[in-house]
Amino acid sequence: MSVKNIKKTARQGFREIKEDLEDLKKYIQDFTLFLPLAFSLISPFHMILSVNQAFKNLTGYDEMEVTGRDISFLFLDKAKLENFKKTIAKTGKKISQELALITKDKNRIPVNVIALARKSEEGDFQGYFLTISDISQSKKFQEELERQVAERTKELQGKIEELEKINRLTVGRELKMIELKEEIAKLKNSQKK
Amino acid sequence: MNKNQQRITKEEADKLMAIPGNVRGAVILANLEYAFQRGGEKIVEEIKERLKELTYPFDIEEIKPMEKYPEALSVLIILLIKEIFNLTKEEIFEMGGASIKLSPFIKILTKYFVSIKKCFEQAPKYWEKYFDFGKIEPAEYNEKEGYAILRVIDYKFHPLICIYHRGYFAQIAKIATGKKMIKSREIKCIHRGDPYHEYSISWK
Repeated sequence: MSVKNIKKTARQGFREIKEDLEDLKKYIQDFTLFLPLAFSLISPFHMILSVNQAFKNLTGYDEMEVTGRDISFLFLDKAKLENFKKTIAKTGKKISQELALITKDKNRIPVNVIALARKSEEGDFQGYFLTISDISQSKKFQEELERQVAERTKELQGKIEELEKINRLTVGRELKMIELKEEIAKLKNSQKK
Repeated sequence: MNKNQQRITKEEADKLMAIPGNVRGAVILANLEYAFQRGGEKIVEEIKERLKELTYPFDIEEIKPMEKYPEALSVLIILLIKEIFNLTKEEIFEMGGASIKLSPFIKILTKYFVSIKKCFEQAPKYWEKYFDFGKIEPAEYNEKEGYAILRVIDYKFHPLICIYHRGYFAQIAKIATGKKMIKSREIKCIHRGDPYHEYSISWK
């Protein structure tokens, strides 16, 4: 193969790689845009590097407002969050934590935060992926369920008390009857004598 | 447009466009995204219109992140964004930082953000990924004092780009250090007669 042909093949190969990369980028873009889950890429220093559309919808912040900021400003429960940050950097595993998200409009939303650490080939911590799921509906459902359980428990307690009262009355009556029967028996015996 | 605002002339554009050197489309796209986020679709149209007026028509919507385009075009677009929005120096600094925030490559270049030291050491490699001319040279790094000095060599397009680059380096330092207090200064400048640009970036 001539030098000219080698150069031509190399150029073609390079062009194909570039095209593949463009396609891959488009795929990632489309995928993250479609993804209904709030997703972000976080640096090893807990700085937001990129966010998807669902993240913007959930938090109310756009990419320019959040990129380069520490994730802390998004959440209440600072102590829990600090612990979460330490754990993800140390363990390098997938971890989750329930937190309260503060949106741009200052609304408080209960969320479940999941982080998955990214590591280099040498094992260096390279930051993490972070997803935020709104659990306000399930929280509401859980609260409603707890309220209903508490209500039913209260009702049941009332019923138990009522039953106990009836039981006490019934047993009392039974005892009284036994007592009376014994008295009758005694009286009968004394009459016979 | 503000009446006092200076528009880029055909002569300025010609002078700029004659400077050789290419950059990846990702850089131009990040700046266009900044313009789009600030002013919407009509701003992109305005940039296209101005490029046509300056006799450098370009279908900027067709720019691909991995393809190479003249750096002069990238600089001209920055100057047009400045012209259209009448940006202050502070806002140009901010645009430099925004180009990092909005770059599609930030997602795959996170390995450079592991530490400021790594960022500093890898800067020449990073430059080569984007530009096919000039170079960046790590000159001094002092972790204890919290500063680094970088040189940008063989890069001479427009003095406003020095401010843009200050913002760019400041944003990188912010991400790579996790510190809020970042200062970036240009201590040597090719436009002031120095042999290269030299930027001091400090953090605490």
